[in-house]
Amino acid sequence: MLKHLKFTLRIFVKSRLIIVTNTIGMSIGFAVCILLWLYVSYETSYDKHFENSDRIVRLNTTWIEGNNNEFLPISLRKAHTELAPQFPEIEASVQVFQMWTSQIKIETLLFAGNKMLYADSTFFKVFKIPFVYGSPQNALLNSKSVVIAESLSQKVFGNINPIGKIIVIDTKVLTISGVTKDLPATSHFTYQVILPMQAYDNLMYLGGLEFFTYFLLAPNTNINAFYNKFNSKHKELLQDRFSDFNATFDSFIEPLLDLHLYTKSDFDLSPKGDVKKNILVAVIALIILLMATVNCINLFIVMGQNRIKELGMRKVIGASISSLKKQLLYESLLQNLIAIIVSVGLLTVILPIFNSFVQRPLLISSIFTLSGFFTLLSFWIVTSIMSGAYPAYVLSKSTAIDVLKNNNANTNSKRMLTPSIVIFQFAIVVFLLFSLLTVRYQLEFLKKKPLGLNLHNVVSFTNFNRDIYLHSQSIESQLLEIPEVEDVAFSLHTIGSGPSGQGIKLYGASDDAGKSIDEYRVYPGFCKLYKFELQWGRFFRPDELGKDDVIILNESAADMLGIDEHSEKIVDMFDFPMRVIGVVSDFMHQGAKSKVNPMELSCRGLRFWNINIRLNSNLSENTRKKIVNIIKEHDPDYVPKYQFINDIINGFYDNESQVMRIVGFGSIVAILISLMGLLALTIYQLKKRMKELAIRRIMGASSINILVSLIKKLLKQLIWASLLATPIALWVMSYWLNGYPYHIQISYLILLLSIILPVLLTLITVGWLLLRVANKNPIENVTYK
Amino acid sequence: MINLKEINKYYEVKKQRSFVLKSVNLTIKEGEFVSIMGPSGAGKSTLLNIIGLLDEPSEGEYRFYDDSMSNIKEKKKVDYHRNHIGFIFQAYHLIEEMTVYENIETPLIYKGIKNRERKTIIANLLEQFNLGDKKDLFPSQLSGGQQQLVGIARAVAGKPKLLLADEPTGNLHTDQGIMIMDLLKKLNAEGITIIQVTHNKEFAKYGNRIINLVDGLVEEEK
Repeated sequence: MLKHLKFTLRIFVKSRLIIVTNTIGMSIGFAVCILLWLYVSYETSYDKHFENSDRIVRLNTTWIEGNNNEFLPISLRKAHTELAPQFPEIEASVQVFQMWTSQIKIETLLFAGNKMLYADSTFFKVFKIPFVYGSPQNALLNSKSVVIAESLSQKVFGNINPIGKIIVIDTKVLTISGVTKDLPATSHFTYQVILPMQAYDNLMYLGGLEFFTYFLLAPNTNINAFYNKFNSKHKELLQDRFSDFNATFDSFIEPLLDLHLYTKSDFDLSPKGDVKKNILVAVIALIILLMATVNCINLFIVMGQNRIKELGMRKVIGASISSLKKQLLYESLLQNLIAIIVSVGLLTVILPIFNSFVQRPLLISSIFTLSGFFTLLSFWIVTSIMSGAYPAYVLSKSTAIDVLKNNNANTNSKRMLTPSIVIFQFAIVVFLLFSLLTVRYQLEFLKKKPLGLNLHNVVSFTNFNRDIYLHSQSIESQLLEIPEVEDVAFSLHTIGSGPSGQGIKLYGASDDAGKSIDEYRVYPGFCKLYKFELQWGRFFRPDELGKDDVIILNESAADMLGIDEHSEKIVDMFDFPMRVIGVVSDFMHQGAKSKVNPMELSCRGLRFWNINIRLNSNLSENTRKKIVNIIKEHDPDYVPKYQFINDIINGFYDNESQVMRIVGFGSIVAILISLMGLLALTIYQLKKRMKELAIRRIMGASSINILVSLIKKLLKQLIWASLLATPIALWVMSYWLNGYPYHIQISYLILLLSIILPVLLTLITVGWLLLRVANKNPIENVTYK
Repeated sequence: MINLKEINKYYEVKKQRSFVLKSVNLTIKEGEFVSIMGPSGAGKSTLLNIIGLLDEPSEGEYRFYDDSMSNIKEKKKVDYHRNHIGFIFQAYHLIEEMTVYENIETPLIYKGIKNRERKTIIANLLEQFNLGDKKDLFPSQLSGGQQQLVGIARAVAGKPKLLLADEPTGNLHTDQGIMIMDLLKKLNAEGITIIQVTHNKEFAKYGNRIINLVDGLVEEEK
């Protein structure tokens, strides 16, 4: 074994260019695949930590209006209170209501940004979360009780048992009845605070689709039979409740373990996992590994060709073909082992970068577990066999006669392989580059598309107490006194953060004519601040604040209802007439990625969560302080929280930015690996042809003649690769672009660029080498052995 | 020991047969030292390669110890190379990445000989061939004569019955050539059958039989 190792290391030192090229390529390939494995195992581990996780399911609702299906992870209160008790298959049922983050006052300290859930007392029967203090049985029984997570307890009380301590949320005084362990980040919901459902005024009596509903099913439940029975009952319940809507309903149940990656619902308690993105990451990682592996195959064969003599001689002195194959595979194993070790080192550098790419807290320590060990082991063995098997097969066939006659006859089959490998690698590079550039231009197009509203220097302050609306007038006038403040407007909803859902119809239309519509509740002045484009009519007047009989529609809503400037403009949302006072152009409050839904703006509520401020310059520290001080005058406990609306809108393109970064990373690595492989290959091929080239020169060929003859073959391969890549790239990117309501057209200029760029890079990389050879004094090469 | 009957070796180039060996009939008994001579391209090396199972005849019958060598399996061939046939080449063909010791050891490893026994065999050979102080050197650090000594040591390490030498002195100057030929003579005296290909008339005389090969035909036998 040691002898073998010593010999192999000598071979490696002799062929160091190839070994270094292979090791760099393979270690990048391994590092990327390990990242992929870390990522996929993280994504697929969601919610597995809950006891009985395989028996927990969630109820969902489908709202169907015409061709439009909305998949909602929420259902009616009655699904828990009336339906669930009718089913013996349900061992425990719970509903959860997610509240906006709120301020918590504990003793004299204020804590902002805590995630709050309201839940039924059965919560801990379904989700058996371990308690640090207190017990799950009576934790949520009392309307004045509250359960907090260990991290919050640590932050506030240190190591003291906080059971019985008082905390104040908004104005409610509550007693801590339990402290649970924190949920791992791989949970589809997390919380710092859980309150009993009855702690919030009238929450239990909300009649709409509000609640996330979970069931713990009895062991051995016939899942399909139960789903069918329950869904049909749930459908009836929905149909009955929303009979005055022009909509139909469906119901579906999803296993807890599928929620993160596969839920059909449009939103969830935490950002949904994206299977498509996982697949993209996987494809890129595998492409990189494949490119590195084919480099290895190619270069191993080249390396083997320099060893034909050794291999032939081994046969003469008694080596069998199988022992030669073993030897060559051993070398491949050893080389990949080195690459794996290098890749682990590489990972320590790239993991933090990757983590910020995918926004996941992946840990390198995961690879030092048993499953990590076996994953590395299988990567190692599979790639070693992949990269070593073909060269071993080809090379072990070489015979002593080849050595004695000094020919490589039996390894000629590799000549077919080398061009196909170059074509394959180059095709992938063209494909990745084209995808990268297309994604980039689409993203730019989306970001630049006029939104129908003006977000320049608009910042929204939020997080104040519920009664701040009583001071709106003085806040507004005080803020307007700051020289940097150009305009101020209040709103309940935040642009970009999701509207409320309502039903609307023309006044006097039949009951089943109701259609769903999005709603932003705003103060007069809001439309002016955001510079909505008025199509006809007018914006709200200040005296209309709090009035529920006037609304403004967007263009889509006006079209849906068939309202124009000259028609009847009375609509019905709450069984009384409302007058449409104006129609604004569709504004893309969710960015240019999704189609604009019908929407109405009303000023019927006095409460607001946002103070929208347009500044005439950037937000300086000084201005920020002035604004916060004004708010604090009216809400002394105010913990400042603000965001630029533009950032919210840009956040909608995070997914595209991530895709672009993943593809960009893949393209760069793929180009590097293929260029490295091509360079090493060219060096070795040139070495073999030195004599021939020298003779050509002696016979009168010029450097240029030689250069052209050398490059012609390579160019031909690149053209074949482009022909192969083009249709696939065009098809894939058209498919991707068609997923957007607003998208660019496929650009042939980009395609051309994606071909020319790598061709140029290749020519530059290989060209200088060829030029050097072509210019060499031929006599040096004639004597070259 | 070796019996060749009507051996032909030809290559087909554009449906034209080009003969390297034509109707070769040859018998070699155990213990002989045969020299094959002839001009370049006469087919000497091809004949040696066929005898050494490195090449196959296109037609004819080859028997080694009464066993037919036509279409023998790869496994059997390996067995002959391990146990019966040793080779020496003009260009030595040592494995460059191995030391002298390792080069001699490799055939013994393939033969499955245990480490301790290998050590004894190699120690004896190194002493016999005067290579004791060179055992840790690589081939590139040796002179041509020394390399050929290692080549011979490697060839005889497995105690073959037949030693095939393809111009073993071709790359050496006369003194070294004589040393190598003396060594071959000694090995033959110890009982190894030797067939050598050579251009050198003087060295051919070391054999007890000279075969002349011209244009693929055994022309005369002295």
